[in-house]
Amino acid sequence: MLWDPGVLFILVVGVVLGMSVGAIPGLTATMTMALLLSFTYGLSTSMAISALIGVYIAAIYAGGVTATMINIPGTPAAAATVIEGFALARQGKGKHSIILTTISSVIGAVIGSVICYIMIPFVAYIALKFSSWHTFIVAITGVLICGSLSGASPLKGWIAGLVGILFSLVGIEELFGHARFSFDSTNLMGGVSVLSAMVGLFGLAEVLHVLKEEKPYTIPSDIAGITGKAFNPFPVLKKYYRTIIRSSFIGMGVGLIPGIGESLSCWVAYDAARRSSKEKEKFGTGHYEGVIATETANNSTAGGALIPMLTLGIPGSAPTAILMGAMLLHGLRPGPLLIKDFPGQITYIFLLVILAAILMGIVGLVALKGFVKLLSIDRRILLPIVVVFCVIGCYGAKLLMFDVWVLLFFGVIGALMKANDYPVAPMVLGVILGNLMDNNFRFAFVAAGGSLSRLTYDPISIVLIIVFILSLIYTSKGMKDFAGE
Amino acid sequence: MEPVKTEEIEVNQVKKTYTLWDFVIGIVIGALSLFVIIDSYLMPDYGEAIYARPGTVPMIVGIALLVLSIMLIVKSLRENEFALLGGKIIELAKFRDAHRFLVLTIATMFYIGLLDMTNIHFVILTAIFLLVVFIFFKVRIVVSVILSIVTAAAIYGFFTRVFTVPMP
Repeated sequence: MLWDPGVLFILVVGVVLGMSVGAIPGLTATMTMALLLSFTYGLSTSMAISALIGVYIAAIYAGGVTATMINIPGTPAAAATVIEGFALARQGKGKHSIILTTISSVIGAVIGSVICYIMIPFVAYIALKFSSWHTFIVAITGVLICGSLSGASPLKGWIAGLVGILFSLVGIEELFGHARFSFDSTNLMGGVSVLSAMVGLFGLAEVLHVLKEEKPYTIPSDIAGITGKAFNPFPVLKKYYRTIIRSSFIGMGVGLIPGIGESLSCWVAYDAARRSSKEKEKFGTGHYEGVIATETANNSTAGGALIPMLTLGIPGSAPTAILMGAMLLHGLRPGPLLIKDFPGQITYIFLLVILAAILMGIVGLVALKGFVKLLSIDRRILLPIVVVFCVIGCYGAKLLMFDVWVLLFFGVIGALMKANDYPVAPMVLGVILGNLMDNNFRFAFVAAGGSLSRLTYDPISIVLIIVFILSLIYTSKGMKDFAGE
Repeated sequence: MEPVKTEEIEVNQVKKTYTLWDFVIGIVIGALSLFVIIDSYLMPDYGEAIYARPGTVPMIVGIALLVLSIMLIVKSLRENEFALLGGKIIELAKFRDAHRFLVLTIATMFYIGLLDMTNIHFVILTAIFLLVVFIFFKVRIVVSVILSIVTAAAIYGFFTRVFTVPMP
């Protein structure tokens, strides 16, 4: 079934499409998979799933390429790659960063899938034990870490993260249907579109920020390292093998938590790499280890996100939700009975992920020069076109012009933030996770009857709270800075 | 006289983590957080315990934000002289970068506004938007015209025919 020429062909098409979409700021894997869903209805089950998996895996990877070349992550999963990747491009090592991005993504996807597959029973058990309270702690820890890592000042990062959370709370809340901060506007009652916020803060903001310069920078393809002596990535990968293994496990672990996804795993892995690195001072200046950590983690998240979807019927991320939709359309029922009713499907899907990752690596390395050349186009031409893609991407999700206005709002906010050294990534993460945090916080306390001790008295809670406290202590460098110590 | 660019100033000065603009931002964030706290307090409780109410999490976030905004204001004032704020605002008004930012933002706003409120075709509006921006950035006129028309048409064709996504 896997070696069927039709399945392989569709998988390649999916990979190429995913790479194209992931590399265009404004378009996301989720949107592309959603659009593709209707096409896949006429295909066989194997072909349908292979097309969607190809798009999913490749899009996460391709976001790292634009992160390197134009400082705009193609997907939120590549937000952390921007820090090191773009710095490398400006040093003439753009090709190095993209090669490392490609190989790390392949390794992450493969390791994540293999480990997840082997550990399915145990991992499914953990996923089932994860409650609303645990999800809340993970989400808030993630925003805290992201805020402290993504800029020069943790204080600015945390402010950005909290404002992002506030934006996510706009609209009708789930428990009582109360419209918060909507000012009687029906548009605002629907909430702030996460996609518009993300595309505005990452995409449009960068465009406005760069094009306001008298001479917007452009990294010519020769400076990006497209010419010159070949780069051998293997000694680098060998040097940072611990980072690869650690980031794979982190990505897999974060992927297990429903609703969180790749946007957080890259930050957690980046933080872990920086803390345990012997070259801490190089982080932020264009360090290979940073690129390896983020790109390994975000692709290994796919393996983790598939587990709750396949074994419990709970999608781990938005793309896996669409994948689940495709499986339901074709008569497969993800959940505890999948193994019984359709034995071999889980194995098949994980093999598809591995194959998609390998194909992605091959296509990525072959298309490397093309990528770099395309993204080395004069910014005065490239970036206005990016604006058009951003508009289409935001409109295409719900066919609402209000979402496009939200895009403009966040674009302006993001540009002003960049001009004043406020990182935008924590705000994006806050918008993505804020609503989830609010709902899980309240559900958790309602279920526990308001008793904090009932919530915290279990091993997973204790571990997560310790991680949260350690993150707070570690990032309190910002607080010490304020106190003038 | 052309205002000196920020980068040139920073060659001779240590770049500060907190500037006078952070003071302004701190005030804005502080005001926002006060509004959030008050609005959260006024939200109905639906007869539920405090942890379940709609206003609880926004209030916690608002309080945290207020604390951080105060820290930001204090930090900004520690590193800078408040008296220079007026001068900074005047300097900003003269900054060519600020003008370009405004022009781009207004152009994007007009593009989105016309897409929203008129029936002018997407291809025409997109081509005009791209043309205006290309010319503003001094891309050659012939290149600008050709590129804007071809790009607009190609994007429209690709998305409507291949993805069947309706355009604004």
